[in-house]
Amino acid sequence: MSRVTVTVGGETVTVDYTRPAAAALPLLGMSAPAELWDTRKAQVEATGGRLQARRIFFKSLTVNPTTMIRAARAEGLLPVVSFKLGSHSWGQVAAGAADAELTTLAGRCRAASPERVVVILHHEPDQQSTPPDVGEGGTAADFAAMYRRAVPILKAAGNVAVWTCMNGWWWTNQARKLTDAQINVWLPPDVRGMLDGISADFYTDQGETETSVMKARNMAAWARRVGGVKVLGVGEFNGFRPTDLTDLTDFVQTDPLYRGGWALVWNSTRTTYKPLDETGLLDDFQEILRTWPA
Amino acid sequence: MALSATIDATASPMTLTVVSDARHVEVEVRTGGETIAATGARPVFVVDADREWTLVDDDGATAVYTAP
Repeated sequence: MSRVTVTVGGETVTVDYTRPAAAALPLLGMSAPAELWDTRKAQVEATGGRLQARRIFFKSLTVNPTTMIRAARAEGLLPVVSFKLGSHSWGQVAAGAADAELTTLAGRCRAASPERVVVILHHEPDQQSTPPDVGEGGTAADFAAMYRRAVPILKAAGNVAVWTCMNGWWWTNQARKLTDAQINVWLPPDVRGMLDGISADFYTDQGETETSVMKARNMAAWARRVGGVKVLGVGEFNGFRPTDLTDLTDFVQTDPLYRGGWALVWNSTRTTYKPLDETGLLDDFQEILRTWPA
Repeated sequence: MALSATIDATASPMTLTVVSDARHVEVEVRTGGETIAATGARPVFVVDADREWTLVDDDGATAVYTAP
């Protein structure tokens, strides 16, 4: 408890306050194909750094994540687990068609680890429709309704933190960026309030027309404008130059909205993006990881 | 006189907002046939043993401070 005393003229007031403990820095983690996880983990940790989180992908709610969650926890890593919805549309999930699957999933997460498990439903949902209100599983409103239905079921497990992972280009400075009103259909205030955090995937393109840090900054500014966002995260990041990595990791260390979240490097092939040892960025990520605060 | 002080400890940086209706001071001075008005603002004194508060805005009635 601290106390501040304010005096003006002959009048004095005192205010007692407690400075909240600073939230932890974001966890620094990685995704990689399951069969290459051990190799790539060993590569990035070769100079002494230690990963703190692992992104895991599944295509259906019915896939049992127990083995992967336990494997991550056995390595001391926060599991950040993304599920696509199999054959379900977002509207079907919103209508209750996947309630039993979600209940089973919540129970599996609980049984796999008493510690926190992050669950994301349908990452990068927007398929760049025009206007940007339709995705793989339905409309933006369906997406929001899906989360309204699923969050209470998943959180009943007690250890499940429910996040979203949105399309990073929503927060570009280019013309294709989404307006606050457009994002609000995907993530309306009540859904933002239910979520434990909101993340997005941020890549810097070859020509640097969009940098990952620019989009991360814009997402933080958006979160502050619209309110109701507890924590931000970076589900994937990668690029072509050392600064494509360091600019982002420096930023998320300093912006308070990213504290308590995580930033997960994409160490796989994806369109033009390559694993770190193929783009010459392995040394750079090793150094980021080696110097990342525990 | 009314003086209030409120702190938002959840903001980053923290903010301290001081509102007072007693800071404005105005005196009229007459000498011979001449009259002048002098105005000023009483200062705000902030004392905190744990941290230093930095003034970031002051309109004469509301003063806003921040602290890390």
